Amino acid sequence: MKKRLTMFLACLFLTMGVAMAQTKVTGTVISAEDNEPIIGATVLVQGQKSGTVTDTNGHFTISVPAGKKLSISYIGMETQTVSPKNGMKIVLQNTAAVEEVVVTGMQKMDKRLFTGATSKIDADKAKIDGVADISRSLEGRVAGVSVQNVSGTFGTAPKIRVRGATSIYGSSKPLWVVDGVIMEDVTEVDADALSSGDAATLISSAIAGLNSDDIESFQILKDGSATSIYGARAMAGVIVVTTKKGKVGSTRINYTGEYTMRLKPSYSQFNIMNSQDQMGIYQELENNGLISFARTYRASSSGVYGKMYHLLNTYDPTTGTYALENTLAARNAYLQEAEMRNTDWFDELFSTEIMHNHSISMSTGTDKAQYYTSFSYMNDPGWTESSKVERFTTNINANFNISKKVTVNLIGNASYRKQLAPGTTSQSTNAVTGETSRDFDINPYSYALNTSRTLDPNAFYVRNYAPFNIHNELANNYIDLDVIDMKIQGELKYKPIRQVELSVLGAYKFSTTTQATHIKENSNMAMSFRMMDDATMRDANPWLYTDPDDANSLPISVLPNGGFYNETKYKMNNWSFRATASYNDAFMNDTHIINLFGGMEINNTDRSRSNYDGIGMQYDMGYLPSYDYRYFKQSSEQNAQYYGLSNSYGREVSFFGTATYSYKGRYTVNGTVRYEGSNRLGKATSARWLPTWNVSAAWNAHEEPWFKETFKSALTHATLKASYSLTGDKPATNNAQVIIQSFNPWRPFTNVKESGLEIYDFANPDLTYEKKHEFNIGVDLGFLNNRINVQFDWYRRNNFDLIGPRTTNGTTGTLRDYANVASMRSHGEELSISTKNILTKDFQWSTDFIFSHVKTKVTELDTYTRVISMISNTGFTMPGYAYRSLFSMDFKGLNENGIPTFINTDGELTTSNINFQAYDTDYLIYEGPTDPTITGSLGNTFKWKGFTLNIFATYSFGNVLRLDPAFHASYSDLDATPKEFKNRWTMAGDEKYTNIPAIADLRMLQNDSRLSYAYNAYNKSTARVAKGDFIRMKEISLSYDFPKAWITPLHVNSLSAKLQATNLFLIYADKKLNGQDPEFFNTGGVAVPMPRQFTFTLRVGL
Amino acid sequence: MIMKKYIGLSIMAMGLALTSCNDYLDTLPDDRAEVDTEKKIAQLLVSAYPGHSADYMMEMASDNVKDNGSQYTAQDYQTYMYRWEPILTTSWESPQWVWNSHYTAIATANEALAAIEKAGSPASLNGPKAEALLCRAFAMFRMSNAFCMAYDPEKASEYLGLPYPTAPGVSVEDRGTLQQLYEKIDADIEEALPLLDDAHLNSPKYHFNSKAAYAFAARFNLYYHNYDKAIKYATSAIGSNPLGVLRNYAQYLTLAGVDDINNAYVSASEPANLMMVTANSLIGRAQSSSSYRRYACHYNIWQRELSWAAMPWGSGSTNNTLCMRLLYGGANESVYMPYMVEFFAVTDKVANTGTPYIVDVMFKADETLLVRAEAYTLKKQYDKALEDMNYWVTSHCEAKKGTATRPVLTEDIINNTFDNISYTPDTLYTDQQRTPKKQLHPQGFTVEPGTQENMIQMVLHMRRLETWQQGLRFQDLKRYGIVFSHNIDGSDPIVFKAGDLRGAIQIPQDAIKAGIEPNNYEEKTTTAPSDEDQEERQVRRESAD
Repeated sequence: MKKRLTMFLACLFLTMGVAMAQTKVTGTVISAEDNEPIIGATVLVQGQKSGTVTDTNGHFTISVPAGKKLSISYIGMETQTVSPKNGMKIVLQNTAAVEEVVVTGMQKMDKRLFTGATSKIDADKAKIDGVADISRSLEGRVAGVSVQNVSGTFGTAPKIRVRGATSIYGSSKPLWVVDGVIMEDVTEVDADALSSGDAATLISSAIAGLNSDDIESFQILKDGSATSIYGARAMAGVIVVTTKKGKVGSTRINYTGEYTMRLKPSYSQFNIMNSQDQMGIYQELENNGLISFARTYRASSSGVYGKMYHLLNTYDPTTGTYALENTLAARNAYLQEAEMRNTDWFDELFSTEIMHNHSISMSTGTDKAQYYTSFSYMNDPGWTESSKVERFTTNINANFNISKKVTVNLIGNASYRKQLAPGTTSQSTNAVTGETSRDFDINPYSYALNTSRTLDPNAFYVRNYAPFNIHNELANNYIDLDVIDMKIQGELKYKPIRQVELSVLGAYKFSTTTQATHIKENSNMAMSFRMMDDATMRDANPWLYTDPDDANSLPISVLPNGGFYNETKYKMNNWSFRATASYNDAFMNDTHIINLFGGMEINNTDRSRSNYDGIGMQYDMGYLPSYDYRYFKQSSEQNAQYYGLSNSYGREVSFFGTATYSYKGRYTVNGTVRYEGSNRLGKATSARWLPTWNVSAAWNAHEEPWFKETFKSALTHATLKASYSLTGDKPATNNAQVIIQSFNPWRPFTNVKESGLEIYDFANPDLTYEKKHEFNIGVDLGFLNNRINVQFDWYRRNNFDLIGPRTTNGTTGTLRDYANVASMRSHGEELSISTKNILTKDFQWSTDFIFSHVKTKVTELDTYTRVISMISNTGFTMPGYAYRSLFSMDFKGLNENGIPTFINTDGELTTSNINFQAYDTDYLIYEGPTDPTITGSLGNTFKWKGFTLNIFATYSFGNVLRLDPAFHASYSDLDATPKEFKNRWTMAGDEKYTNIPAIADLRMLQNDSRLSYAYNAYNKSTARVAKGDFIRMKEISLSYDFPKAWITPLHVNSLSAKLQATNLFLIYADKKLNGQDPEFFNTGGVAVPMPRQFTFTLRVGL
Repeated sequence: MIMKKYIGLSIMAMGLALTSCNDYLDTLPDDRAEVDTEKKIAQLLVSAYPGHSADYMMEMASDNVKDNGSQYTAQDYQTYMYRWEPILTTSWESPQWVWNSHYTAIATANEALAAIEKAGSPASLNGPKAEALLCRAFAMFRMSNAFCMAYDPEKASEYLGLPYPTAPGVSVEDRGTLQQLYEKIDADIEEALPLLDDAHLNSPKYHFNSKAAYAFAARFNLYYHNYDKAIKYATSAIGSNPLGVLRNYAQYLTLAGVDDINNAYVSASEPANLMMVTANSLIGRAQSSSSYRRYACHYNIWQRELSWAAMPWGSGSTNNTLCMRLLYGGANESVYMPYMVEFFAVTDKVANTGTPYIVDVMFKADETLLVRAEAYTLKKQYDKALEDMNYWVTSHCEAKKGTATRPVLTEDIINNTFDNISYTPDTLYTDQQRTPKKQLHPQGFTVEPGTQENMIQMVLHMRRLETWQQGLRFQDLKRYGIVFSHNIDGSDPIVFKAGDLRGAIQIPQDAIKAGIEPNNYEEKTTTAPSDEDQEERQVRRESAD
């Protein structure tokens, strides 16, 4: 029926214009490079001026008088002349190695007409085999995009910046758009929190559920012109991901198998003492009185010495002996054993088990329908003990050409992830002493780095007053994570006439994460709640409870049985709807090209987070809970909540339009306007809507008639672009109106408790979006028939109306609030050069060089930040400095006792008279930015027959970072100390030669109760800073494509094998780092660095 | 034509779309509350009480402390306050936080009042409305005691007042005069009192219940020189025979520990406690910690001017029926009574950090009784004043202790007592010169020498004992223009004159920077702010030493 209708319409069309005998021919124009249809290719009947242009699927229909030939041309491609044949397929070859289509996620645009700064990368080129999270593979691939792998744990997002930061308090995270749909995060983890190691970072990656084999390409939209269609979401750039689709005429089944082995870290990479040297330190501690029976026997945590004292005190009535005889010889033998132990914690806690990832995809297609289906399974048995990941993904992409005018595209993805991670609590910073700490940390990587090599890995020592063994703890204290992600989307396109396309897109995304922390009864954490072996311990153990209503009572345990079962659930429901219309036309034989596009979009996101602390779960008793009511009484008195639920609701509506005009493809101007509204600021309507805009222009010099004659083949391509734009982002605060929340005020006794409402944030009616003006100039050049391609962009950004603190007179309720009072400037350059050095039939060598530089400077900010925040490892800022800058305590050498000295707020030289909470930060020393200013890569690909050798190095320069905080006022027999301790101050006079502080003795500790301030200040001082510069051998891979002749008899279409080494070594890094990875923040919790790994990949195509 | 129609239609469609979008975007972004029910209005008032206290600041400025010598350490803000200089540092007890937290309470009250008005001010909201008005007036009143001069009808139109916001979200820059400030406080109180209704209070002792409201009205009117009202409201608060609601001090003598005494003192079931307010504060710690010891209540003050001073009920530690004689702790340099003891809410057990609190008994029947006694005395109704003073003696003294017996105060006894005490000299050079009697220079009112003055001296002494450590003494010093001096180790004592402008503590630097008129302080050479800054909500617990 439909066919007939089409026929009828076609006939009608034919009879209208043409009188003489003609044949109607349909065909498809395809690019040779990527088999993608070419949009906007000109199809002309030879000798005639009339013609047509291909649509977004590359299709064209044209009437050809008998005997005439067709000429198909497209800018940047070689024109072909062919004899007409219905259903023909014309494959055009590139003359220029420039992509033809820019996918903005909203529309596909002719590259000629695109005036913004953008880079496209094909997923198969960027993909790092053996790294399941595709976002990591962007590292060094695109100029202007920096990717910092602050943690290598699966599910943790890398810190991605497109052209640097755009906000001081906001997250500056780029927007992810997958197949035209914005990917919302399940939970907001801001850029600074990504390196915290907290459990929430495990679900910080919005695209961890995407199978990297399903991805076709990335398009990075960088400047305001490219991103302006996304308006206020896109201030920090947009990463558009396109997934694979079925193709017309081919049926393919592909299998990809990846087998990855990760190397265990080894002590040779790190700066940690062996057990002999470590024992020497302990002996000094013993001599100083810091390790003694009295102190160590009942210490909250202890190692070999504590164990020895316990053994000396353990009587076995059956044999009538002590576990360890209290004789000098027996003690020495015991200690000597520890001295020679040299436990390899990395060997104990890490594994080289093979991680494997299998992916099968099937694609098929006819003119009517194309399908792509894939399944993948990833199994990571865990690089470290107590970490496992299994991930299942599926993806269906179906495209139906219902008629010539109507197409429907349906996409469905689902993924399930099951992950095991070591138990962890949230990181906290003690603002008084300046120490960052995490209770009960059992992260295997930081444990290996921070634990003495004198310990027996199978023995129990004491931690938090309770027995502790790392293997036992990892088995009894862990997090189970279940992540389900689901997305369905459908798009209907209708072309009433050739020039017009109407489209509606609807998508629904559902995501749920259950994070269950199991703290079993035999874990150290649970046991510490009931350790009260003697009166001293009972009084000292902070996990015991003293009932204030019971005068003169003794501390009791509120967890007499069982452990904890804590569950946190994150849920997100998101739907979005978009309706667009586009108009594309070319007049007067392509002299005037017009492209109009407009539409509206609605985005609806509901998030919820609920948590519940199950207390007294008896894991060994069929999970029967057994709880003491006093646990709840204590919680109530301390104003702690044992369960909670919080919701957030995002509503966005936007209208947008963009218009492009091009004269002969040479001169193009473009303008975009978007009018966007959000409920972020509540019911206040003053700043609900934000208009954003962009104007831009491009000059395709190579389209000039004189160009080819002037430059011949020396310069084959030249485009010059300029854009100026305003984009914005929703402010980090949302108190346009007063925010009132429920709270429980602190009260001394349970009988006077009540719940109430409090003003959480006072109204700031002037609150508005953070905004950015950006000016971008770019040039694309192709030399020697595009054997050399150079792309260069320069930009300047003016970020204004940024959120920052402000002082008011206080009469509206607060003396300090956050308002749009800060501003920041940045500028940068981006350069990519790709060259085809050698191009012969058998041997090809190509090189890609990428360089980007970005500099940010905060210009206005009412700095009101404590010293402790300024000197933190992630840094902070002041006017005149980079967006995140590292500041240090001014270290002035050691004093005559080997204690570090500093200049304090008053300009005095001091050891411990330091106030970390003061707001006067002028005396701190500026070290440099914490974000790299220069990033990039150098990649070389060699192809010889079927072999491909890829050598890829990334680099990063310009930032500084803090060395691991290794120094403390007092050490215990658990501490692992770095090798520089060998050069520490040991006797008066040493201060002239060394900057390594002394181990404080008991007398020094007693004389100065604040001595720990001095050591914490030292950890955060000028003495403990290194450059973050590095050059990393990111990837070396060798792959082999088996020749067709070999595999065809096996009914195999393609077969390749690849061996890849990733993160092999650092070619250059600051020597002061001594093995510390400059990208990685060792914060414990769930964070581990990116491993060195080898991956074998097998690809089979049927 | 058709084109026009289309344009018209599309404009209408756009308009419709935008309106419906605005409805769509009205969804709140999170679980923030909207104060749209009567219950929520009542609940909002839970937070209309200031979370920080000016007590310590005012105590440091009063004659209850002395300089123990430079061998002891002090916090910078203590030093500033003791020397009546502007406090340039921020800490929980400094003007910065006092200002901020009081205006927060006022903004909250204003938010509640706006919600009540929006709801049409039904009678069912009378209770919450009264509470909101009282919260606003009370926060302003407390700030006026710290940042303004004492009320003096002759000078109140010259003295600076304070910005008095009456609508949420509206910044007020003009301080107005002290006269205007008192008028506004008065208006709020008078509007609130007829509306009082305790039905909406969940934990009445932590709110302006009716009794607390009248106690506040009584104290305010005493300071405002409206003695009839002060008497009337005090009676509404505690009744004409208050013995049943006065604190039985003898009960504390049976308790052993500092915590136990404090727990009993701040208990909601104690009838004398009319209202309590909690505060983030290190006052509890300051009284016992060595890092605050330089400026504190030395044993000499305790002995010569406070509980051990010779009074009709006895003197010293043994021959003294006053129960307070034994209710003290601390070191020689820093004596304290255990009723402002620190509560510590632990947040991190490993680091032993958390938030220190005090429970401040803002209105107590004993103090309200003394308000009435003072008002009667000023009205020369000595019989009634004596009756009230004797209620106080009854509840605060034991029947017999050593050679002392509980007295029944008479005009003669009081005259006899105070006629025999010499005035403390304006400038103190030795502790031996300390006496519980000081020269009065009442600000804007008169006290006759002889009986009236002696009676006032008696009441002021009782008030000093009753409100010790709570900062109220400083306001009494300001009201009566009492001249006193602070010794300074290594230099001459400094003298606080009658009507001294430094009685209005300088408002916070940030507020001045943002355009609020500063108090008229004599320019002092001040050093750059350096600071032992306790603003961080988490502090480490210190053991009392």
